[in-house]
Amino acid sequence: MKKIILFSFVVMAIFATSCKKANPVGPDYTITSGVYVLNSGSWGYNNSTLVFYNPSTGNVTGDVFQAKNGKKLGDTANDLLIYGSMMYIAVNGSAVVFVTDLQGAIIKEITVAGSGSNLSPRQFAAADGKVYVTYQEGYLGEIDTTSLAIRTVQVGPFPEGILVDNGKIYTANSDGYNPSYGNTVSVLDKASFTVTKTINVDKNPQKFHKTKDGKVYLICWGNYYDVPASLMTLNTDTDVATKLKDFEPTNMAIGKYSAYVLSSWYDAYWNQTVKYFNFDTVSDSYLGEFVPSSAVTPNGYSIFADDLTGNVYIGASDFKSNGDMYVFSPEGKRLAKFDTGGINPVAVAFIRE
Amino acid sequence: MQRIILIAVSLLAINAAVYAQDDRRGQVPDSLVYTLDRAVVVADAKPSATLQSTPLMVKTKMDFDKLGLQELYEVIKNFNGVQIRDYGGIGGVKTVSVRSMGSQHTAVNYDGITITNVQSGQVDIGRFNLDNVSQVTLTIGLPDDIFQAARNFASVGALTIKSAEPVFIDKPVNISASMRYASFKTFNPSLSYEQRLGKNFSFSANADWMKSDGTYPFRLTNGGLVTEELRKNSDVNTIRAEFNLFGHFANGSKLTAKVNYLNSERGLPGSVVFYNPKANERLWDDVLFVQLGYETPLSEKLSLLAQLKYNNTYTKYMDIWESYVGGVEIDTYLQKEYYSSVALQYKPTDNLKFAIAEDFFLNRMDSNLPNFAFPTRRTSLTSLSGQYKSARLTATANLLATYINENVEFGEVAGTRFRLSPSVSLSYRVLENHNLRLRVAYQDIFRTPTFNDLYYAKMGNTKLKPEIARQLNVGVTFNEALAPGVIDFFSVSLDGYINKVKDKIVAIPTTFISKMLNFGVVDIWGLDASLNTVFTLSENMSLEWSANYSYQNAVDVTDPEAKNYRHQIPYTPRHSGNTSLTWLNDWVNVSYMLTAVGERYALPQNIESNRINPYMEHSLSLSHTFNTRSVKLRLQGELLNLTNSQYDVIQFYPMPGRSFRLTLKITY
Repeated sequence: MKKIILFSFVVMAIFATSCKKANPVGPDYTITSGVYVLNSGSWGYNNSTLVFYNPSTGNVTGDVFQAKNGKKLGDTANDLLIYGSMMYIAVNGSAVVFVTDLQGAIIKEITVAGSGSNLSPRQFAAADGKVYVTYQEGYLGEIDTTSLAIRTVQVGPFPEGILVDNGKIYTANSDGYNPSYGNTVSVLDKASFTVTKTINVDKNPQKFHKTKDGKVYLICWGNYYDVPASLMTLNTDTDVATKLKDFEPTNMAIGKYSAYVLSSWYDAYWNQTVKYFNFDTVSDSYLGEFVPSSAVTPNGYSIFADDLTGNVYIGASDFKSNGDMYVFSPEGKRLAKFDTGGINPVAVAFIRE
Repeated sequence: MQRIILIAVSLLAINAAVYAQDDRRGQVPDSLVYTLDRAVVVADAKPSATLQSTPLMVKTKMDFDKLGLQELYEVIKNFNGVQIRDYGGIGGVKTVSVRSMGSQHTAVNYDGITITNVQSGQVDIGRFNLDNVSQVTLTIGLPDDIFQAARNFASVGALTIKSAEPVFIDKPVNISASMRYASFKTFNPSLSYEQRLGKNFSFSANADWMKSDGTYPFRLTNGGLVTEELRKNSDVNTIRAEFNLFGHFANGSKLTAKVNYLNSERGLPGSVVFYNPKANERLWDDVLFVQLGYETPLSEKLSLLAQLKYNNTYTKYMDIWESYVGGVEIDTYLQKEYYSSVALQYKPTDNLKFAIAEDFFLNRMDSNLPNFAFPTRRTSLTSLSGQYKSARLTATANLLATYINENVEFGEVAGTRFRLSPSVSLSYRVLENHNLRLRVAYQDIFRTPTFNDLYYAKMGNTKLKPEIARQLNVGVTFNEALAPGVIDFFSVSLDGYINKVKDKIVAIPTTFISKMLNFGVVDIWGLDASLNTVFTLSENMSLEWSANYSYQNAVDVTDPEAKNYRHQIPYTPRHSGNTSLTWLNDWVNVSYMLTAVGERYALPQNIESNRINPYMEHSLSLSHTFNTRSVKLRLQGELLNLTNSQYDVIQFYPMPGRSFRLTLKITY
């Protein structure tokens, strides 16, 4: 008997010594001006996180959400938006939209009951006191930023990106659960919040980008097999989308001085190559490499532009370890690189003092 | 087949006192023969763990009864160097992996023939209970028993389940019925009937039904928020039935035939997702297999073993969710296997054995998935083995040739594959008068990509190479009656190993979808230490103690630039162990078990946010058998997870807390 007890103690001692301490962030931490980075995490791991990067000190603080609220963001956060005095976080797997103050403290948790389960939010857009959110079950939500009440309307299947322009709302209907993917954009009348028509675009539409001159681009991802990704322009007067030649964008950012395109390819053996180039939104043409592929390791995953400084943020991910965020000057000079404290940095939001 | 005829105490079946005495013997070395005065019983011997040239763990029906084990995975919890991936709950999938090498490297063998799942390469051992099982063995590396189907040489670990063969003592019929009731509204009645048919034949038929509501409470920790939750959609409804025919003939030939059927419906609770209680997934399984075996001596030196199997596995998965086209996803899969094996063993001298085995099998898979490949795989395995065995030395060598060829109805097809896999092992008794043995074994083996790896919608990759695993094991074993009359049995073993896995087949997420790739090299080394002993306390009392400890260092060495370089691979504890203590007596047999698993990581990067807490699970079992002249009544109860520890084996698949199980079994 003694031997067994001893054995148990040895086992317990081994386990006790292998415990590690976390590096916590206090709930009274104050966010000043800087950049929020939202990490999606891995699907099924409840490991979405929100961290804060202070460009002047280079410090990264996280997880801000957990520090402020005593609980975690949840599973597979997908989008982050700062609008007015509030921040909106779409947590797709957890089927919740968190509305927080700019320090990350929860003001409201918005859930929408679907048939059998709550709706899963994807992406945001904001205009005229409303925040719009797509739900992958095929809905668009409109959040009143004063009352934080939400109403929804059915749009096309698995909508992703949203554009609000010209009195209309557009949703990119990826139809991501359909093996052949979708090729439509739903057009809604903004005032009545009803779908007025559905227009055809390339396969698997994902995201809209609007330039300061009002030009609208739409990225379509193809079917990841024999239909490549494509870049389209959308005329919001005529609601006609036109394909541009020879661009296979994955993500895009419209910056202060230029537009930046991240283009990701996989060869037959699924080796990934990512290119980063400047894009001229006047002539719709390639303006040369922004940074070489080797400037971002493991591989670029997301791209954002700070329209105040003109700096470009490229999030890198190997999909299994914490991501890295690279900060480049508009000329492509590396200014900083930091560990994002979570897997798959999917969105950023700039907070100004 | 290394079947040793063991003459055992016939009274063990009908007399409690002797039964208890026999229990006390614990592991019986296979060289021992017991004689007795009243009758002779032929039974399968328990292979000796210490004589083997490669690590072998074994538990028999007696051990199951003593320790209160009722499910196959509970047996494996008492083994060493093995991890069970347990998704929790009554119907949760459970797979076995040996020494950090992934569950696809573990073969599950049922009465001589491997149970396959060409779809995922993993066998859910949760579907087996122990009602009609006589012995469970786990071998790591080359088995010492070389007279086997070729497939049994084709994996790193082999989990072998042997079903019970009827034993008729004083009547031609045995009947038993049992009823089990357990926590979470679980009912499990079962029936078994055995009959002798003339001089040469006998049959057994058994069936059981398990129905469970499965809902159990668990404590969920979300940062600083701790809530009490219910694990829902965990219901199970399973029917199992088996028919066996046995024939023994005067010339030593043996015929076995088996029909096995399983039908089950279960809810899949899925992983716990914060803020989202959605759980609508369901799974239906319908499995039928028929197998035939015939073993016969062709001459004094030559023996033949022929086996056939047909397997039909139908699986239906359903999930209700608005995201799907039409609001529901229904996937169906049908796997068929036609298997044949012929093995010959030649024994030119008492010390020397050679065996050749040729297996040919065909696997097909159908599915309702769009653009499904409908693959057909033809596999030929040829195994050549030789063994020299003397009182002090056992040396075994095996060469396995694998040839795989596939065709598909849609899309790209994987190339034809051929590979030679050598393995060798050696066990040497160091001292003349003591049973102290040294053993060394080397194995070069691989796993073939599964149909999911190759053809699963968009993820599949037909260019995959096989995943290579190499293992070197060095061990020492010692086995002796240390103090006759007090310590009648004492056995220890210590094994160290170095493994290398390369071209690991993994799902790599990409910007868009996940893809199967040969990506990764894992360096593994570890230690397995094991102790089994029996103390005789008095005439009617004994104490059995078993303890295992495992150290595993399994690090990812794929990419020096990666943040997980040289980090421990997911779900692999560095430290794990188990111990059990059984007190055998005339009144109530009591047994205690402890499983302890150290910290693990859910994802490749070894950082705090990926860390899973260590856990310990304690269980207690009580049993007593009442005997009358013709009827035996056994009452058994278990308290599982005594301390109500809340732990996850797989992150966000919470395990049940404290629960109980009661079994009443009547045998005529």
